[in-house]
Amino acid sequence: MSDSVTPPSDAYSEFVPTESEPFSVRHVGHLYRRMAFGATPEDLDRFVGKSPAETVDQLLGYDPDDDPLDAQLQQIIGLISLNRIENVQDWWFFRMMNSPRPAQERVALFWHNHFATSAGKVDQPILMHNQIELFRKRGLGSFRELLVAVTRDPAMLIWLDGRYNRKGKPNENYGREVMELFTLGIGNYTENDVKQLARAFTGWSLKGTEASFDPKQFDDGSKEIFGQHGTFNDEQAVGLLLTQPAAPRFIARSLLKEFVHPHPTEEQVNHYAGLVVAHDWEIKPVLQEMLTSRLFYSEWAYRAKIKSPVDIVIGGAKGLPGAKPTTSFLRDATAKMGQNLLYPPTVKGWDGEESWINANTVLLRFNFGLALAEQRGQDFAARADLDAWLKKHDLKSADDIINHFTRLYLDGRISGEANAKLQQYVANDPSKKPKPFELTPISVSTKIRGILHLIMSMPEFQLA
Amino acid sequence: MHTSRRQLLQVGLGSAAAIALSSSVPNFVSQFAYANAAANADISNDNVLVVVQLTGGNDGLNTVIPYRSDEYHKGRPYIAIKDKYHTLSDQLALNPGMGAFKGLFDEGRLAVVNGCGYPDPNRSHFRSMEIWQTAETVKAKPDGWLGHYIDHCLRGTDNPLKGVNVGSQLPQALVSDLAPVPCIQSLDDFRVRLDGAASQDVKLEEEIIRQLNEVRNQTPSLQFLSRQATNAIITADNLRKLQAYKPDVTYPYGLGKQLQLIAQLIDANMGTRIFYCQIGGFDTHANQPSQHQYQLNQVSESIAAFYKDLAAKGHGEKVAVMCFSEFGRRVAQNNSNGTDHGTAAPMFVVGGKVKGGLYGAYPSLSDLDSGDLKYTTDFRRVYATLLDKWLNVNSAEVLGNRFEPMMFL
Repeated sequence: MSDSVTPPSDAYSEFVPTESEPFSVRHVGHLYRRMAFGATPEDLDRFVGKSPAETVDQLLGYDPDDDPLDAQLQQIIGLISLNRIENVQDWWFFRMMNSPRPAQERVALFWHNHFATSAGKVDQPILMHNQIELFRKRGLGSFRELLVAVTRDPAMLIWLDGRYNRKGKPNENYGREVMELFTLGIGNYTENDVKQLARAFTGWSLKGTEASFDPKQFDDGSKEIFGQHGTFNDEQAVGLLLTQPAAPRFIARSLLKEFVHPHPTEEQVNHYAGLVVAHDWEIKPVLQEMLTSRLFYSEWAYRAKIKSPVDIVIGGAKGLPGAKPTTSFLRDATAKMGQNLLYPPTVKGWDGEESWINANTVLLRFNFGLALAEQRGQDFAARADLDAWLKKHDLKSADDIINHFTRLYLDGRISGEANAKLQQYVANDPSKKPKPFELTPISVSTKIRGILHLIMSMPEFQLA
Repeated sequence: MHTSRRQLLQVGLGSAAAIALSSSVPNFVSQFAYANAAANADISNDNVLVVVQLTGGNDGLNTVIPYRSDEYHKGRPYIAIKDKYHTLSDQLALNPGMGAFKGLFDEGRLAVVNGCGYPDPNRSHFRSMEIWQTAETVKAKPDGWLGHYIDHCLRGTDNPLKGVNVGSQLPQALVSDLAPVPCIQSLDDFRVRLDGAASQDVKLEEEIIRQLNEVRNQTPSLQFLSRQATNAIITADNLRKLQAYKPDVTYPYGLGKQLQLIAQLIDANMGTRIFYCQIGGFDTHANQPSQHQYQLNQVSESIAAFYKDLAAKGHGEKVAVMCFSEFGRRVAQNNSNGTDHGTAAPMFVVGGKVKGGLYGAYPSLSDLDSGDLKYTTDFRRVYATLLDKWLNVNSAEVLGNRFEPMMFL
């Protein structure tokens, strides 16, 4: 089957839909899973039949300084304190669930994993909040500017000990990881580069919750980095890092792995690395080309990734308008599945893909599907009104309902065999008499919930 | 509906999927011969190995302290441990937080293996961890040393619980070619929950979940997911039989609770030979002393509680615990009262049959390699000892090379 599926030959040309190859549920669902944690029924209705260019424009075309959730959040923040880490996590989950611009949160999550700062060491929650805000605001801008900002970010100064890195008393932690994990990858620098680079980052420490630069603590002596000599400061050091040929390839590979395919080819990496350089490290135009390419919509990339716990939880919940899971429920569920937001397991972040999946997390994924279908207890502030839903979408038969939810969650791409299982479930009757499906309050509350649970327990649902 | 084993092999899955189907293909794998004839008839064949990973690079010098060494005190003016340590010999002492380990040492149940490392040490957390977990220092390898042991030495059974990782992420050490090793965080979560309100449908619901996850001729990622799910469901069936567990000690939180779950699984006699758990927080670049002592206290108290609990339940002699970290830290402290990534460090082995004492030469603090200790004992000698003398298999077949076993077993 997909063993033989290879990247398309016209990978980098834009996918412009035609009558014979329209922008279908499969395409919109795919784009939304990768860029927005999953689609709502409204998202599908809005963009099916349109084009990748238009949809990607809509997803990425936000003004990061204008915040549509601001008023709502201000109200909530009046009640909670961002000095508790759970509240910062909840603040972010609220955004992911409710933002009209989910791609902004998705991009921030990418950078959170890239820079992998953990509240386990950064013991001032407000600083974690501020770092996520940095990713939300600058995530699609210049990576050069972002990296300078991250280098001086208070949470990062704590996380990789930059605050202790002083003239004559270097701390190499940030100097090493900025190359190994953020820009170049192992093998592209020497131990001497680590030592010298650390000197260029000296001078920064914390004053309260702000970063502050003390020229007396900055090592202004001459350094040799990548064979070049100078008195380099942090901004110049970042500039030097990004002139290394490994740097654009590193970022291109990260973007491809995150949004397109876990195993990009070297040729693809080189292609997008070229774009990174051509766009002078601006992320948005690179991502725009990536997400409108034939490569992105190819069979090769389709269902090639494994959903992260955040994808499972937010994507699952967003499909059920009206259901209001509490943020603490979403937070605990993702943490148990192996993605405790703001607590990446190591400086490398989450490994993702196959590493999400093991016996324990598979069962937790299924059990989350059940909890979402049941919407019981204190985990939901409001339940989806399935009766109203059935009326609104004109769902009358078992077929209607199965088709509706498999379209929503699986782009309608489900095997005949699996479909037959779902039919069998709906038709099941304790008296063993198969009978046609009837919409009664009982059938709504049990059979539909059962169908949702079964769909979310399918291997296909685990794929992004 | 089921794919033949041959077809599965064609998509590169080995017999993993076949094993995943073991509930419907009983004893399928029993047809395989044991890869290794038991090497020594005197060694029990139900010995259990528990690995405790200290993640982040544990500072060996402040763990097993060369308290008489001038170089030690000179290199660490602010963080050298000067008192309250627990003496092991006239040269070495345990960190003040490790009183419980001192007790085990005095009982002769704790082996301290000094100077463990490998040639050309790597100071990246990830690469060095990969080296320890694959027991391969040169090239990258997909599967882990314990995964390899489980694949090749425990073939004679289709027990889905041959190895168990306690935690949310499978370490590379347990990555295998054949059936995946399950991760278990808590028994309460380790089951397929069903809709309580739909009582007339629950049986069918459960059956359909199994069927939807049967391994068929699908894409490799769907096969991977189906295999994992099928294994999880079979494992959950097994664990359903477990009774409530009453430990004979009070376990500390964190690592202690992980070890309590392991004690429960050992006591229930599920046939598991390998357990794995980990504790983080050892990457002590700054303000090391109090944090490090706290971490080591956790390790020492938790493992001692575990040993005591097992001994009280009569399993003390069938369990060995091995403790390791991906590297030690530099001899000289840094200027943040912490330590940066280094090289050699001690390992610990605890158990009722372990011959306690000091093993491996303590590395010289004057003859350094650019500020770092030179290792004296290849860590794979410790692995080889556990494989040859505890798990009773030929270590060379698992490790790919012969490493001289040590005398702590």
